[in-house]
Amino acid sequence: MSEHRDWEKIWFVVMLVIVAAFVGYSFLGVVSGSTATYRFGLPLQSGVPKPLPNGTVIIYMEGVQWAWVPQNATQIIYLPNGTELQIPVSSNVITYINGFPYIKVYPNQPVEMVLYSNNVVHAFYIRLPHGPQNVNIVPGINSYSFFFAPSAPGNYTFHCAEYCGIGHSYMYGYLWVM
Amino acid sequence: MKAYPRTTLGVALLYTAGGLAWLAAMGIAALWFRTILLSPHVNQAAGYAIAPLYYFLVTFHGQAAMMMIVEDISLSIFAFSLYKSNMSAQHFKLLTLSFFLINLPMIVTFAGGPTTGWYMYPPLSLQLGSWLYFGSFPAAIASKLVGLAYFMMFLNAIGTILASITLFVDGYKTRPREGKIPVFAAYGMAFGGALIFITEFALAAGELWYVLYFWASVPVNPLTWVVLFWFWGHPVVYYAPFAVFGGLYYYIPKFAGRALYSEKWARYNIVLLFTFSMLAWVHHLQTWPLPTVLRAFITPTTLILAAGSGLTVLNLGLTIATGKGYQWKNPIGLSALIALIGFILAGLQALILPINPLNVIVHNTYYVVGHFHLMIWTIIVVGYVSILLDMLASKMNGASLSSLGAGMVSGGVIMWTIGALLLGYTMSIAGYEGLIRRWVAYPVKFLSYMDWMTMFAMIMGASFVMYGLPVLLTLLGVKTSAFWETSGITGVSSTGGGPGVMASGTENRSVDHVNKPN
Ligand SMILES: [Cu+2]
Repeated sequence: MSEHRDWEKIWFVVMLVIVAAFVGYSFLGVVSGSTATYRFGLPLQSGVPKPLPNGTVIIYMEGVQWAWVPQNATQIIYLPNGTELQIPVSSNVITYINGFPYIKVYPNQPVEMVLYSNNVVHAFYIRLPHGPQNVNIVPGINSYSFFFAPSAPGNYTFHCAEYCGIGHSYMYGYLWVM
Repeated sequence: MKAYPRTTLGVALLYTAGGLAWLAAMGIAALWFRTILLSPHVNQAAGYAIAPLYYFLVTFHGQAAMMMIVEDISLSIFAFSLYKSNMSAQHFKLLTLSFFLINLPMIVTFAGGPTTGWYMYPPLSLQLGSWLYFGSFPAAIASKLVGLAYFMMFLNAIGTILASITLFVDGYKTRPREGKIPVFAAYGMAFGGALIFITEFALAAGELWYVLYFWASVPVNPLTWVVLFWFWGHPVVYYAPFAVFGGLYYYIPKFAGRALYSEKWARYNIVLLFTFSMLAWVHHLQTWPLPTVLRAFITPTTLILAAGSGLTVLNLGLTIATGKGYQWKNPIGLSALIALIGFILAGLQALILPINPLNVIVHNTYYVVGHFHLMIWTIIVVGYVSILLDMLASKMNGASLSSLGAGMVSGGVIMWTIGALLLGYTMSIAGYEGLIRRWVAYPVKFLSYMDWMTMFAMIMGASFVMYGLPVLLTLLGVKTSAFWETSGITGVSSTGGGPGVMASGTENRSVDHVNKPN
């Protein structure tokens, strides 16, 4: 009987330590933003840097059945006196090839996606060398995704990650690092 | 097996039959859509042509599993746990009625051709176009029909609630007059009974909301609906495995040749698992626009739940380690052992999931798909096989499997588990590499992963036939002499009459020769 008790108590302590470690790690990730994917990938704008870094391109991206429709793009520029300017850059940044949208950015450029849906739930998903973005978009609620463009030029595909009907897997486009 | 059973064992067998029938159908659907996935459908026209069939099969696969098979086998285990514990079902008419409520109405739903996915998020699932057949009617009729499809799902949920409450009440009424309810039945009461009838209401409410949307123009708020849905959608994954835990607590000591290492902890664990299984549901929504505090909340609740599962593993592992040599050559003992090992291997995959910063890496990818399928294939399917074999032995009046029967079951279960581990981990690796679930078209770099997955799924399909055949034929009462040693036992065992003729409380428990743990 007594030799039973020991194992169970040891397990209980081990369990508490593991839970505390995991929770602590997770909590620090949430609060300090030490994890890029989480700090910059949250909906509801939590963790998006305020103010946005100089040069950030903001893409207003609508999810429809079944395509990504980048509707507008602006770039944040700060004047020497600190005034924030939002420069319209849609025609430079947004382009279409074979019917799929391309977002043109420079290496390491900060990017903020403002994501919304005109009908069903979608999710914005992109795999970058320094971590993925994965954000659900609920109709009627704006979601946000902030990240730095990869340093290596090339095309990086963004997809829909939440099943949204039969065209779900053809809902994609490209981040084009020039 | 009788369509209107009047014994506790008969109830267990009836629910088993329902579960197995849908299991076969959903397995065929899975193999079918795996063959569809052998092409990456780079060509959009081809992809759009096959997509409706693919998404119907995926939806059918998921809904048959989550809304019928899980409930059937959890309730079957619950009924059998009562039988093994000298407790019994009493309201046979109600239990039979609820069985048919669970298993029949959704045939109408499937006839409507849903392509909503099993978790049927709004507003996608409210679009008439998501219903291949019902949606093809003029809008006014189509919306009535889709409303009917959801009403039939509502009836399925009502059947589940009815069955779990009835068995719970019957179990409570027939509990031992002295002492505690045995652990097996206690797990049945908690997870085949109370957990089901508490959480299944969330599903019923969500479905009724959809019905009212179509029949009474009640608006549906997507975020609220989704949070409501997962209050069922998460606990439902515990109905079967936690009921199986009760079985493992019963069988593993029996084959380890000693009493359960710590019965006290097995009982404490009921409280832990019961409470926290209802506090973890938002972990399905970590990438959703919900308050950060809510997303942070589920990390500890999910991990405490995982620790409770770990406690089960430790308790059973120590029982085996300190026993008199585990009898793994017995198919029941072997299945129980494999279920336990599989549960550990599938559980390890899940450890990163409740951690917020890591979850986003794999959310909605095959990583998660690989994890939960591996859970289903081991702790649920193989664990259930071990309980089912004893159930069938009881049906056969305490006979034991012939060498042919034992060989088919043991060989089949081993082959099944090898296929399951290969398939589960392949899925998870592909998911970690970025393969999103529910893509009928996918980047070509995943083609070889898909090929291997289909190959491993075929191994599983073949081994399912191998161990399923003796089970199915025994259930139907066909060719049983090939699979069971009945010498010396001719129809009626020494400990009582055959099932179906006994009053409650005195049913035949011929294979129940385990020592009650103290
Ligand atoms: Cu989408």
